[in-house]
Amino acid sequence: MPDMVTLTIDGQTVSVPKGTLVVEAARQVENLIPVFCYHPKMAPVGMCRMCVVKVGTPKMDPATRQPVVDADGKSVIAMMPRLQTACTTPVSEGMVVVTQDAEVEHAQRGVLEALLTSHPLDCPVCDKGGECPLQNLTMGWGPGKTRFDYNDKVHFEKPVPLGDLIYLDRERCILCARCVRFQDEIAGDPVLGFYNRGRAWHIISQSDPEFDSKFSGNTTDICPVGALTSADFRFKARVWELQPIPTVCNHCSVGCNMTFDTRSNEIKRVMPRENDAVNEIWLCDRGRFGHHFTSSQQRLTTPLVRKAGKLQEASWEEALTLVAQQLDGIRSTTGGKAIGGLAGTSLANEDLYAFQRFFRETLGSANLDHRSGSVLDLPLDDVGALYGIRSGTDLSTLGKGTVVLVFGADPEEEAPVHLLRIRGINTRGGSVITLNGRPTKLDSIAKQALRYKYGSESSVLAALLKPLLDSTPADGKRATLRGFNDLVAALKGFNLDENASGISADKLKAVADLIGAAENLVIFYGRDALTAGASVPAGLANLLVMTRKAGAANSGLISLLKGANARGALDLGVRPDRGPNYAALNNAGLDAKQMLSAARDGKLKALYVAGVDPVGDNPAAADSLKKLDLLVVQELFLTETAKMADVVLPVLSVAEREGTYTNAERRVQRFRQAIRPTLNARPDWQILQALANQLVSDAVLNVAGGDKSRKQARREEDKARVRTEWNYASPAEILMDIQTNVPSYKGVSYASMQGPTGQWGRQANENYYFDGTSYQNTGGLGVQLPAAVETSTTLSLQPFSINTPASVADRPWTLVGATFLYDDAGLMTDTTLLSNRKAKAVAALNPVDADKLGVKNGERITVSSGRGSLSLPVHRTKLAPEGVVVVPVGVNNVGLVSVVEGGATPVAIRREA
Amino acid sequence: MLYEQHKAEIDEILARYPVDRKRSALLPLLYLAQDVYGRLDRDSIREVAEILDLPYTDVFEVVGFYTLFYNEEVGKVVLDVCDDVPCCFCGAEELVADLENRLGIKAGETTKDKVFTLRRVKCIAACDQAPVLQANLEFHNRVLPDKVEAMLAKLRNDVESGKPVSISGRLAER
Amino acid sequence: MPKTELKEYIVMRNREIENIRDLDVYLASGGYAMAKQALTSMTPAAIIDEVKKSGLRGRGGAGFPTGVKWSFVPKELNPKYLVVNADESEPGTFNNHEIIDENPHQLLEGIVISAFAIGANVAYIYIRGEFAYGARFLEQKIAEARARGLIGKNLFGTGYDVEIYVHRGAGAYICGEETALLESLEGKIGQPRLKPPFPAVAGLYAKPTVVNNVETLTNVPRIIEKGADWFRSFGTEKSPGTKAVSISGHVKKPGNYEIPLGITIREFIFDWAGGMRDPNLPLKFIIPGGASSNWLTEQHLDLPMTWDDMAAAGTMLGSGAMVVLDTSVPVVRAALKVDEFFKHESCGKCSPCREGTHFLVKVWERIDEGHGRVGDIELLADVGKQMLGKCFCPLGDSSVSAVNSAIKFFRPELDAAIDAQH
Ligand SMILES: Cc1cc2nc3c(=O)[nH]c(=O)nc-3n(C[C@H](O)[C@H](O)[C@H](O)COP(=O)(O)O)c2cc1C
Ligand code: SF4
Ligand code: FES
Repeated sequence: MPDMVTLTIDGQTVSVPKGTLVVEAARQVENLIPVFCYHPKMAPVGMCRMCVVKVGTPKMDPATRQPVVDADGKSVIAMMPRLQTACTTPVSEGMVVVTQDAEVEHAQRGVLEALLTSHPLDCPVCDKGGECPLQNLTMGWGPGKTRFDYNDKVHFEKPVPLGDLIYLDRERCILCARCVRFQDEIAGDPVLGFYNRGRAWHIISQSDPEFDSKFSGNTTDICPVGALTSADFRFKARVWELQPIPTVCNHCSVGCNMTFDTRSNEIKRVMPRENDAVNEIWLCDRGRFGHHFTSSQQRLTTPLVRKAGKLQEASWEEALTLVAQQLDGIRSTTGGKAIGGLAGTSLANEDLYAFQRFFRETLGSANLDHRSGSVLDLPLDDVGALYGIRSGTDLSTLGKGTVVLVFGADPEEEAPVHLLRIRGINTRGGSVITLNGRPTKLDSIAKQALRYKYGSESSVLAALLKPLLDSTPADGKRATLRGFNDLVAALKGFNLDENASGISADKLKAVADLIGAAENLVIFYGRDALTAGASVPAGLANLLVMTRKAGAANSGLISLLKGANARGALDLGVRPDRGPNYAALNNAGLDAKQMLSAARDGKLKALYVAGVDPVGDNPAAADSLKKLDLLVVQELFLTETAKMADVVLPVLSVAEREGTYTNAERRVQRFRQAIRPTLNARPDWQILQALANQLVSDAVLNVAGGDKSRKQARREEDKARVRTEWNYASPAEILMDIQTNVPSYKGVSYASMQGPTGQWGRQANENYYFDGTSYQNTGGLGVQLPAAVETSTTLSLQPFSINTPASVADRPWTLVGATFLYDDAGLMTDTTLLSNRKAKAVAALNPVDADKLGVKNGERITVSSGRGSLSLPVHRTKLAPEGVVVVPVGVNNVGLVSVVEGGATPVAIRREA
Repeated sequence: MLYEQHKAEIDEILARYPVDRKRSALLPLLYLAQDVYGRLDRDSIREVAEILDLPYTDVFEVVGFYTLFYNEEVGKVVLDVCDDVPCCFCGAEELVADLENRLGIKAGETTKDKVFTLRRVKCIAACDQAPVLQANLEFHNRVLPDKVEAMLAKLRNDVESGKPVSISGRLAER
Repeated sequence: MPKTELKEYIVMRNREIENIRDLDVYLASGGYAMAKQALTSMTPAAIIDEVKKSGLRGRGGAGFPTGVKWSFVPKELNPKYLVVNADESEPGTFNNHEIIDENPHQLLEGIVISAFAIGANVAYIYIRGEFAYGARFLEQKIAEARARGLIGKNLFGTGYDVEIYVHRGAGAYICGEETALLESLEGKIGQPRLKPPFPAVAGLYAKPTVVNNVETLTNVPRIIEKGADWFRSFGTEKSPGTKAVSISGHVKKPGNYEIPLGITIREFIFDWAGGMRDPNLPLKFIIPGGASSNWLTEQHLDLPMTWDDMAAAGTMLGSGAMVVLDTSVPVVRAALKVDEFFKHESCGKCSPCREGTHFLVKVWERIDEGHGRVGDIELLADVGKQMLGKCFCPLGDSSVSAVNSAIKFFRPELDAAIDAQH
């Protein structure tokens, strides 16, 4: 319990934690002090002076150091001689605050009038109109009429672009610096500034490209006037006509809460919904502007069936019957083993659950995966759920005492809003340690920013674990750690080879000490870590165990998997080796890679693909798929795989249906239907349900032909396995099934996900005065699942071993595939606004290396491994460490799949003539 | 370029500040760049930003804030006449008018031959010397009407004779 | 009226000793002996104590007791910095200018002693960008002193090091405000910081920092040399010592004068500065402490020039800059010029100052141009009231001085200026 301070505000007594600002204390008694520059998420600056109030403190007797009391025994209040800014004044015991009287009003009116002296008052054409703090405060606190001569107003050229995404109207800007401070403090991209001074002061961006930040859209929300507007929403609609529908972003694993703001059944814009435990009030630009795929003309509009070698439009009935019959045929001749299913990470939990049921129960197949079978697939990450961040953790409250270790991850590109949250922990006094193979933006705030050499990850972890092991007392505690002796054995005689790891043992010892002393330990890991071998996530989990932070409050792993619902797919068993809830299986099925080779060998006859694009990810997969008897693709778009399919089933997008996703922190969150579908498409789960029911119905069995009695027997058998016919009326009913059958999802329901809708101290629609545009959350905060370790009784260390990659003499370079936020994913379709920022098909090389090879920017190199080679133009940049060539994953025309061997790959580089 | 050509001077400037506070060297380096390039255009600003490893925007901000950084083209000699209180009541207005007349430009402008830029400035801490001006930050005290012609001639002559000029006052002498 | 004698110069010793700016002359006159004495035979605490006892008050404008300011610096936090405020930009002020150009070594010696007293090993002289010559000159003087072991490492064999660097501003009045100065010294735009924390605790680079004016520090060697009591033999009880005062405008002998604090304005203007320039044009008003100060008129001529007496009269001694204007000056024009200055120098950070100064200037302008409107005076007064005390730093408040002074003393003239137009 923090120290409380009691004060009086307009006669009402209120107690608030020590350190609270007067402006925040006043919200508690529902007396809003008007603000412009103050923003609850940023340090106060006291610039606009709108919040001036009267403040007094108890008079102290200098001799006794006691408050002076009057005849009635009340303390005498000494009012400060000038008005104080409530946003910069912390409360103190016995303070008296007056927020409303003639003097305060006069001053506040003066500030408002002053601000309006340079404002064009063009509300009728301003996008902010209707949700504008300046409008609201003018109505509430401003003078009715200005005494300033209209002709003396400043005039600037009307909106100027600040980069591709944001427009600036300098006349409307009130110079509160919220946008600049957001970029500096919160985003850590100091790309906005002020030019000139005094009244000529105005916002500029001189970065290259202009306004170079992945978070620029947020400035349009917090701008308290209409000075910053987004290119996406400008002149699209009046805000009061919009229907904000709660949804969850499906572009990455953060799971930002947001709304689709619709009018006439069209998405007009995307706004954040406040959820402190997930995204606070922020979105990244991909999430905010990347909604255009939902309305893309390229969407599949109707089922397609291959006839005479060509995909042709068909009715649902025709398509589904065809699929059911074919599946049934294969099932009855070759058995479920010959059927494989891939369901991707942008599907909802309900779809994924239905998918694995369909396979395991209806088709009798365990050949399930959520990946595409390319070498770039990430391994199945169970450790991230076992030792996941403890439920109830709210990163927005962590600070002092917290150590954040970022290992083999680039949160800015892999899960951008996590970057903001890690920066926030740092701002609040926590420490950040980055251990990466290449530089990332977080290095600039890191207490320790260490660079390992690719391949040495497990050695680096060993060097962190060893001191922790050595300092673990040889008492009974060791015995309670399962796997302790194995770890001891694994580390026996270990000595860090500093040349190979690129980091000194002392530095790592210092990091181990920091980690050991942490009150809370949060570990992020991403693509680089996940592709560096199973020992890496295991070693990270062991760090938690060794520091007694496994399952401890505010501690745990956060695995930055690719896709919005990768965690859901793993949790719900869309994988060959485990069922829902990581349940062990007697007989594992084939994973995606194995399915492709089984198809090539003619052992797999049918593949059912939902939201995955094996051919797009790896063109060579086409050879395997050609061999199939049946390829069914359930999709938004005609992907490369869909082009080869026998049947293509169009699905509804996130905007057109209901569902839930599970984010990287295992929070299950609900998205709702924002627009009525206009396409002849269906939600994934419905398609699966229809097929499941057809497959056990007479219709299919009858038409399929063959021996009647055998059919009858099969039908009975099916019915027994399926228990009942599927009759989910909505995803909510599937969710009820999930919560009954998947223990970790117990208690997850629409009601529990709704939860409280407001955050601390926030009153309805207060955003309009306080924060900028309203991002009130009426859609619920979701439910965070417990990590397995929270409920287990014994702690175990994960199997850990040190692997030292053998160096390959003729391949002295290292090729690394890196995730970039702006890639060529299907979800980026039609978001042309971001086209200029897309990662380019280039090979990033350190300038020193480029000089060694004698290549200039744009000249091509050939990169070859034991598997193959690729040819790309060079981009010289310090973002590639020496000896490493960095190539983007998920970007067209890169050819990475034909070269990479899992993770970092030894390669040879040749300059092309 | 700037760094390579003026390494000794830049290193000496950097040495004045703690190693992790290189940004403090920004104002001196901008002066240097301004002298070398004649003004602070986009490229020279970026060059300074790169020497100090600063975001471009931060450096533009600084250039925009201070009156002695010129991002517009200026002449070889910048004439800054104080027209503040009390100078404006002690002959400054007359001096400005006289200069405008002789140079054929208005305050704020640069002569066609790019030799002189004339500006009105606020108090330059020489009020007892009114009317007073600075030419490339060298003080010219009590510039009474009879002295203007000679002053301009000398300044022009200095420029034409190829004497090193420093619009930033790096080479100022009394 | 008999002219008060200044027994001897404390800061403007260049008026007494020719070429004291040359190191040899300065050394011959006893220069740097005080630094040696302070460093070799006094503890920092003893120096602070002596300065406290002297009652030396900051000469930069606010008059805050210097010794007290030094004692706020936390001992345990290091490094510490001494920053010398040589920004001198307040209209009417030019006394630092003379000290820098003519008596630089006394300033440098003051810096050495003061840095030692507060425990700083680095001092920066933040000098306004326009003093390009002064900056170069000081650098040369520092180099000379360093060459003789008077600045630099292991001074006088005590093991104490101090480096002094000159840092030029680049044209911004606000950089005289100590926190804006620190921002500027850190290579940023010069805008004031929120206080607390105060510089003494978190100043330059967030380290403990003392900011003192040039003149303040130039006093220090003499206080060490001759003691607090000697210093107190000048001036008054609460405003001891002398003050270098700049006088300009319509007087016969404009310039700098070192006066014992406490002489009257009348004596200063008429005895020291020679009286009004034109016998036919009598005194109209005085801007007594820089453009920021409230004006005075003839009725105030007997006011003693001390911090407290000036404050009691509703104005301030400020930076010690007196602008004397005669009846040829139209009040509206003078007020306009003053507020133009503040508008020009408003940094933009806070809205009442940024917009308010513009508002005031626009109204003054239209009156000056003959388009004043009925009610404009009340408008000026009300806008001024809305600004006063609401701005982020004193700059905005300062722009109200001209408004309030003009209305207080020259209301009829203002009314007439407007009436004449109707
Ligand atoms: C707008 C403004 C301008 C100022 N300008 C100067 C200045 O030019 N020189 C100066 O010494 N102090 C100036 N000051 C005062 C400084 O903030 C600070 O109080 C002073 O440097 C402290 O030194 P002192 O204690 O030795 O007087 C100014 C203050 C304000 C608010
Ligand atoms: S653009 Fe908006 S947020 Fe930025 S300073 Fe102007 S008013 Fe404030
Ligand atoms: S000064 Fe307090 S809200 Fe702007």
